[in-house]
Amino acid sequence: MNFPRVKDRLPAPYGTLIDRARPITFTFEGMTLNAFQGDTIASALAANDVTPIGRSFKYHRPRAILSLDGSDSNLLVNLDGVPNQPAESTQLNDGAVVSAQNYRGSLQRDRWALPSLLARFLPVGFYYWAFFRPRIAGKFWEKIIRARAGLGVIDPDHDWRRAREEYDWADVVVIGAGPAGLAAATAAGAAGADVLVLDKRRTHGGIVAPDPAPHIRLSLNSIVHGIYADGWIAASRDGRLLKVRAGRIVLATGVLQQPAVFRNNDRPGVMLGVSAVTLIRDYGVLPGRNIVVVATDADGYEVAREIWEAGVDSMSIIDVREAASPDSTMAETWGATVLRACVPIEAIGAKRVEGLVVRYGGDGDRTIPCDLVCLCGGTVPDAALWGHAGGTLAHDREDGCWRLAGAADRVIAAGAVNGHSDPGDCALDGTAAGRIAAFAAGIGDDPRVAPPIPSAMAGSAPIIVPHEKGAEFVDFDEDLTVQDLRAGIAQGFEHAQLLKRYTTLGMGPSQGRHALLAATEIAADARGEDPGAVGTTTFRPPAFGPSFATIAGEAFQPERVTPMDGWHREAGARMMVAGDWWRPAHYGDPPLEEARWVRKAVGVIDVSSLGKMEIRGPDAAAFMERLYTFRFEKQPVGRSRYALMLDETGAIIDDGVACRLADDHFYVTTTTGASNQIYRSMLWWNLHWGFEVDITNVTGAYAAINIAGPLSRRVLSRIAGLDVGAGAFPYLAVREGEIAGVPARIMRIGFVGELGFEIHTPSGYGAHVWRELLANGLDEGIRPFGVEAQRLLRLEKGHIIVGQDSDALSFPHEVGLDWAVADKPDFVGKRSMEIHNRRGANRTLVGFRLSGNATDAPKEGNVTLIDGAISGRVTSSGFDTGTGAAIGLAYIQPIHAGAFNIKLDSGKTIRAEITPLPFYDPDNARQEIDP
Amino acid sequence: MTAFDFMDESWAGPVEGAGEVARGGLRLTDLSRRRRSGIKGPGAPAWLADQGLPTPAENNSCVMAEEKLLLARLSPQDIVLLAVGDGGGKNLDNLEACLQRDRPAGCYSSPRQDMLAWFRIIGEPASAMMARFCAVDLRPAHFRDGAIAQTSVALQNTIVIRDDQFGGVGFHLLTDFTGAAYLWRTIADHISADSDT
Repeated sequence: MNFPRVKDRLPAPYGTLIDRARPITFTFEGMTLNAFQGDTIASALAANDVTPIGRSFKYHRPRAILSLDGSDSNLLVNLDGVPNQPAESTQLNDGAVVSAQNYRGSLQRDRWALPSLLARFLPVGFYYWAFFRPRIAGKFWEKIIRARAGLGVIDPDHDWRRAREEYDWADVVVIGAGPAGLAAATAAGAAGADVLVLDKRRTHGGIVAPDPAPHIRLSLNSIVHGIYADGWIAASRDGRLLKVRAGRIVLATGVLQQPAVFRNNDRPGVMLGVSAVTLIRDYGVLPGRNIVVVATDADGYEVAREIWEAGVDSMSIIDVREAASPDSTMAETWGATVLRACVPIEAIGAKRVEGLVVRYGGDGDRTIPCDLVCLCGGTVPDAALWGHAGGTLAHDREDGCWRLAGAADRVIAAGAVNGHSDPGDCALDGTAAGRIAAFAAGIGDDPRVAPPIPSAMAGSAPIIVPHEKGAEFVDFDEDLTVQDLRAGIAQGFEHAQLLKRYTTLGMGPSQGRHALLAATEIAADARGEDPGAVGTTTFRPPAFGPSFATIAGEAFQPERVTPMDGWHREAGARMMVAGDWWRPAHYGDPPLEEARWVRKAVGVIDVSSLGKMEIRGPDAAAFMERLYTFRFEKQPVGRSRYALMLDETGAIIDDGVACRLADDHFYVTTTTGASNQIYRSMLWWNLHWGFEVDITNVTGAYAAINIAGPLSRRVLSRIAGLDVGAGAFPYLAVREGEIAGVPARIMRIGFVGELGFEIHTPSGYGAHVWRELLANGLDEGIRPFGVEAQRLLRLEKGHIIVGQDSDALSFPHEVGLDWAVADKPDFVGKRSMEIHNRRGANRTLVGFRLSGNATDAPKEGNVTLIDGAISGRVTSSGFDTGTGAAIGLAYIQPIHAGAFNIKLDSGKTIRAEITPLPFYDPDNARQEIDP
Repeated sequence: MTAFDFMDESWAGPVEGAGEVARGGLRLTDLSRRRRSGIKGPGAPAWLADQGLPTPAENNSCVMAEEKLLLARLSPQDIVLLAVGDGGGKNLDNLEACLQRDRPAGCYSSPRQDMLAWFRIIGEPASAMMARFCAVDLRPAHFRDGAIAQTSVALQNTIVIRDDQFGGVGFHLLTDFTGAAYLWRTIADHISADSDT
């Protein structure tokens, strides 16, 4: 790369966005460059005369500024390690490190750049019918394609800033702070509406009242990415996601200037006219001294005048129209050379534009030397957001232009996007829109606005000059040329929607915003129809692509901890996630050892994450009877009972323990992961049935501790304020009393298959009771055990875990829970379950054991095989606490008996013997042990 | 069965190490050691009236009783009581004792003391800070003093009550005891990290 030539900035008032008192330095591709605070990457590179800035997606052609719109894929750069930052809109900070993307070798000498001649061998859609024949070729091409695919490289070690997000609300949101937008905001604000104005630019483009209403907020630098249902707007400002709820939306996004299509119209130095004006006006950068403006309407003359006034050496205006106009006459008086009935043929220059070949009347081609070509190829409404809200674009045959059509939910268009070109008309249109929007949002009186102002927009024919050598680009993101689109149409992809999918037209970051006019014209011409018949593609969010970090927002991740969480962590527990909860997996010892200690002596486990519901009221028993599969109406007070819940399809969704504390009071536990779902389900059913029942989710209100093992009663009795002896406290009994001096509910249940008690105490007491149990069990060797040991212990006892050993299609008789289903008139899921029962089970959950010397324990999810065919899967896998043999639960075909195979992760197949459940203590003698 | 009578200085509350974070005109305070309670059921409003306590006329609104006892009506059958002033705690003690003793029909205690952690955020930028976490419009002009939102804050179920009696715009945040540490950490982190609300 040649050392760049630093251009002198134009004097003030040019350069409104830069702070000349604050010079900064940055690097681009290793070169240290100067800029001012307020410069964007693109303006700074333009000021330093750096070119190219990037390489095109497909052919790797050198590219520089086209639109300054913030959406060109060719100007995506890596900034301080973050890829795909739009150089056109990203502000520079002192010391920034910027590099280009999508090249191999160097930006100047990109080894991936394809000569134009080779490009013809990569026609549009070639990848649909290339690369996969012969079959082996796919692997060859895959490496090459993967290496070239995509833009930018993500650094997985990059220290990402934490994304933030925030909500906002307004009666009226105005998108676009130009003359129409600001007039709309002023009118809506005057009506009393709370107004938020969003504009992606750093300055507004209209007149702001000296003392605007306090409820009008102007939010610049705010990019709107999409409009969704019910006035929901996704936007971002400084990388922060904004979620805005609007009563009504005024869309004042203006129009998009379109390029002209001719050979090499992508050369650095060829840019939209509006881009050159922005560089001059906002950044004080004169991007060239010998200028050619390609004009199709009065806009081109306006651009030319602004550039001329900045001081240039020469100015030629190429006007495709034949007739003279007041604009052309005026331009000639201030010194410009105007060539009418003239079209651009080809930009020349290898790395940057050095001249423009034009065809002028009957004089044949001639070359105009220049260092800047400004394209003013007509305009189209910036209608992407209109499309998000349900609107469309329609071609006005009479005026030859595209206009907004259809209805957009809650959106009112105003100004240039609505077909006005005069700033005064735009402001009047904005005022009317603002009043209508406020009234529609429920603010102010019926505006009774004047009739709509007639649109003065007139279309102009797009400038499309095909060339026999190609390289006349229509879509600069995707490197699509006139020939590409014609080829797509010739192959039958005639409608815009089909053409888009086949050619990738409009699929780049700029969403085809600078291709619409030319692409529809080319398609219409090929079909011999009006552009309206070709149609447009569907506008979908995001209109401007935010970073993934911005889309993700803050990514809040709620987590729940038990009252004993601090103790677990201090004790060195390895914590695991269970649903929303953090739970101890184990405390350092292998889970098998923790489990063996429970069998041998006594252990405690924190089970506070269990869901807990209070069911109270005169109809509590009737409610339980209808919700769960067991019988509860006759359940004695002071007793607990297994509670199994099905959904309407008869499938198992939850289980727990129901404790009857009073005739009209049940206390029910649920599985950890399902507590909220079950609570909602309970509320829904109760509403449906109309029982007089109060349901309260008290999951977080109670800590729960399970103390289990042959010595558990001995330890508990030391701190229990009630008799926990076998006579007074039999198996499945429930008592309310005091433990360690605090109130508690105590249940005698045996999930892990040992003598055990579950203590539920208000959460504020949880840590106290936990500590007291451990302190009073010291001489008995009490130890905490974690979730992994608990899972082993319950597996030995043959107790299933809902959600692990069952899935969304598990029915009670498939998993051995027929005993938990009572023969009663009705319960949720009964009819479906009975239909399923009559059809017969497709599978059954069985216990299995591997031979004693088996060392390869299967994993949960490993498939089971019978006669070589898949029969089911392993749902639980662990080890026998006595022998250490591998045991587990698995689904197999119900007719099978004896043995089956399991295929391990390694691919190896092992033999498993079906074993009656439970593996441990089939007579439940351990529940009554009294050492 | 509630924990309030056992609370002592050794109990850290649902968020160990929490207390107060103040910066940029905002103050986040953990009030979880203060008394609170709840009464549910179709008989709740009438029974409260019998006890001389007014019930808010509308859902999602609250009234202040004597001794700065705030009654928040979540639904016609679900009232939360917060002892926002020092005297309110004793009132709640008496109230709960009465409820346990009388067991009025259609009236059920709700263990809000153990169910909900209680934070308060105060300061002029409070609603702007809350806009980072909550989709409900809590701006002063749109969420009046005494209004209640049963909503999600940082994706966690939370009851938000506007209460301006402590100097500037203020919100009580009542959230599940078990998720309190997460919510405290999330809000405190935002307050500490930057205050440009």
